[in-house]
Amino acid sequence: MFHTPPIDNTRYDLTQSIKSSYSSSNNGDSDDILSTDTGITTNSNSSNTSQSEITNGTVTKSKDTKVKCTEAKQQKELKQQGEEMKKMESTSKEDDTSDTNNKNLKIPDELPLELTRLMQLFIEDLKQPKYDKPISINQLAGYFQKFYIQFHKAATNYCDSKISGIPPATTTQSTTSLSIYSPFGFMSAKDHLSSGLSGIFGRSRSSSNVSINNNDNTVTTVTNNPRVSNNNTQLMLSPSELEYKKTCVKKYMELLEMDLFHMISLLDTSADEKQPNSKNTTHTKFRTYALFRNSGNYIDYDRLFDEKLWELHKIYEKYDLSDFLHMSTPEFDKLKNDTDTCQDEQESAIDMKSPHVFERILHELVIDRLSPIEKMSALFQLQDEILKNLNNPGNDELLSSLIYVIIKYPKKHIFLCFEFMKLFRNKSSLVGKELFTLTNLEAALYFISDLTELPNGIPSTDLFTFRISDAIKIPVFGEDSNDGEKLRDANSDIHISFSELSLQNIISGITTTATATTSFNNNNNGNNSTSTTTTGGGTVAAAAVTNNSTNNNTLNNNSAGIRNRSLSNLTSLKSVLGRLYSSPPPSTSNTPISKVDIPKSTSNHSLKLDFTNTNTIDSQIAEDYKKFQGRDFDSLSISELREVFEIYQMLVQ
Amino acid sequence: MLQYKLVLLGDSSVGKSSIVQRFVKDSFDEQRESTIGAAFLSQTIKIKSPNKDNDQENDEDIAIKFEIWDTAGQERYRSLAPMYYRNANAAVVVYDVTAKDSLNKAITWVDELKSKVDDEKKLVISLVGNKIDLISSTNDINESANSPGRQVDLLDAENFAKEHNLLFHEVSAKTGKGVRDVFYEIATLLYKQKLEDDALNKKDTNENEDRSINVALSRPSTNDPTSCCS
Repeated sequence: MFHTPPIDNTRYDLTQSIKSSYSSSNNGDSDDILSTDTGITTNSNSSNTSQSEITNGTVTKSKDTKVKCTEAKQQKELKQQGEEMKKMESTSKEDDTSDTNNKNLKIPDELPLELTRLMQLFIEDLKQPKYDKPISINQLAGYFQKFYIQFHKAATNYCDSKISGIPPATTTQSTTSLSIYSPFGFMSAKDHLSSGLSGIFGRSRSSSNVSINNNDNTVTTVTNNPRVSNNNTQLMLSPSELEYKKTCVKKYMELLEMDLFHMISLLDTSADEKQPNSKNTTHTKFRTYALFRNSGNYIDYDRLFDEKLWELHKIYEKYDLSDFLHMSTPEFDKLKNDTDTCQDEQESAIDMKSPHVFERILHELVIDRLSPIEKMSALFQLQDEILKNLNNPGNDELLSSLIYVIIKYPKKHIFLCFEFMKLFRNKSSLVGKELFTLTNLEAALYFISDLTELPNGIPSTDLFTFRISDAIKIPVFGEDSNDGEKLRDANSDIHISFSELSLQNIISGITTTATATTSFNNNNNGNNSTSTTTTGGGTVAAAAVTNNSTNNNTLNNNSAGIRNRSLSNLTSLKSVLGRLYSSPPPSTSNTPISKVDIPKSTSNHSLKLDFTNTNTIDSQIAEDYKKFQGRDFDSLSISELREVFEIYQMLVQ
Repeated sequence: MLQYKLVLLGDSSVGKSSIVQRFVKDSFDEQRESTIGAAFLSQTIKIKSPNKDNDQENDEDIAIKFEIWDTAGQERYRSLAPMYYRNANAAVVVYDVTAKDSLNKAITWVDELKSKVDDEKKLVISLVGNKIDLISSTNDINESANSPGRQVDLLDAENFAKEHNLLFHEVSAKTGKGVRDVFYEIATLLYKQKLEDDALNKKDTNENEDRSINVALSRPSTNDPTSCCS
């Protein structure tokens, strides 16, 4: 049957009529998005698409079936979360001035096939082994945030189509755009991002109107006039339709965030070679930790934080910290009693659930919940429970109670959990109440990590001699606009500063203003081994290693200067570091310390480093220095770190 | 609707959260928004347009939504404050008129804000002395047994506010006196700022605007399907 475009419907897209004419009742044609990479520009019927599916081999097909299998599992989990999400939704409705949702149109409870497909594409692309070095967590988060924005556009278009009764145009358009998309992948198509991805995600004429309304804390003007907001689109929606669209898109974004992480986790564990399958059942719960494994400073921070938190917990068991935390108010005593005994029958609301309601929620927050949005709802829960115990909770009481609860029920990796939420929660949703709640958690965690003074009479340990945030810098996401774009180019330079590898910066906190440098030279270039050791400043000895891809794929570094670079460049050092440490070098002064070949996965560059140290180093220092050569960074204790620092001090002198 | 972030600073016992609670409570006729205890509140108020331009005789109320972030006032948590006041549009620095030291602390807060906030000119700071219900209306220095009386001289605080270009109020969260004014004054000032910014932007983009209008006008002559029959 042929559909002709209705003359009186100006919104009708011509391509739609063709599509409608040929499309079968099922939505199978949307399944072919990934497999079409031939750049068919008039691909608008199902026979064409099925053909392309066949010609493009079975790999994508098998992936599809895998994805579908996981979807079923995922639905189960999602239902469990459903109730809480509804709750959260109701709290997040604060911004909505009107709650007159359109009664005719149903609020979706799952992602439509078209949008699910986009999500799958994104996941597939993330899994492509196209980087010659691990990408850092910030870059990854950048990709996610970009995808959220693109998905928001797609969802808006989808809702537009749904409301106007026109089938979404994304499917046909995306098949044409995938000629750009597939061969290069999501990330490497960066340069085509504006053309390629916006092509995928929707009709360009309405995309100009799509913007995410919530700007973080900046002044926003929200117009309530539907005519104004629709000036650029071809759709004229009634206020109720607009409201519905807003709710719908919001719901899709929430569903996306949940689905995305559930799906990634289910796919990832089977594909991840580093995690044995046997461990999957027990260790899949905290996968966020694995996400950070390429970002050394997060891991280091987290480990130190956990140690410190544990120390504080031990202190808590012996001493009363309530005065120290300024919690001597009557409200706090109430909270303390509740968490300690919870046998008070008057407190029925809390007692009914569990004597350790805080512990349970913290466990959910850090371990059980997977996606950032679910973790957020757990955090709200925790906050609500604390508030129940306080009479007049300003932030004086709320923050100190939060810190108290975190110390009382220490949870491993809570710091990474927070960072994960901060990085991967859809930025446009992270506003208002949600942002405040997350900021409170951030403040509580930073209070603990930077705690250097303990109440009188409590013996202090090494951990309380320094602020972790001074010692390990966590790159601030969003400050660098290139987050998510770096390392896109496989040939991009690697800037490695060994100051990051130096243990002493954990103690001294001095990282970037190094004045003493040791250069590692590439003898292939016939350069004299140069080395500069400058005195004064007493900062960390660092070497800048540059992978200069244009120079015979070898390391060429005759400029021994320290590069001023953002710390985010260094977040993938951990993996490099692991390899360096795993091959203990024969280290003697005045001779090459080690020759390390670092294999690269896809590029043909081999990074050959000749570590030459031409300094005359005191033999005793060399002896001391060697002491740690075979050790893994992770296994060093604080006292050993201190030793390394002392060695470093000697080196500087 | 315009939305602004407002942060509350001040020592722990000066009654920061009482002030906001009073403000929200007294704004019963306005739209009530969700809260996190008294630590986070959002409240929409309506102000009269202070527009002087005669060509815009718009008497419509302007809706201003405040997102109010409370901070922990204890000295121990002081270093955490920047996390709360980053990206703030306004700050209310509270002191207790019956506690001399609290003004000094308020002053250090103001100094910190001025030094650490990037765009300090745009940050509206209001210095607020709380608990005026505890001092007698007849005598400034009340030596009664129940209350320490006024310990912070009105003029001292006022002069400091003038010097540093701050808004200034003395209020009582208990009776509600002056509380409303604090927030309405901030709202008005922020709105004025916005109008000035808009005017500046308009000047900058005047040429571009003309162009865009031309583009828009030329649209109907193209084959844009939206232009003919709808």
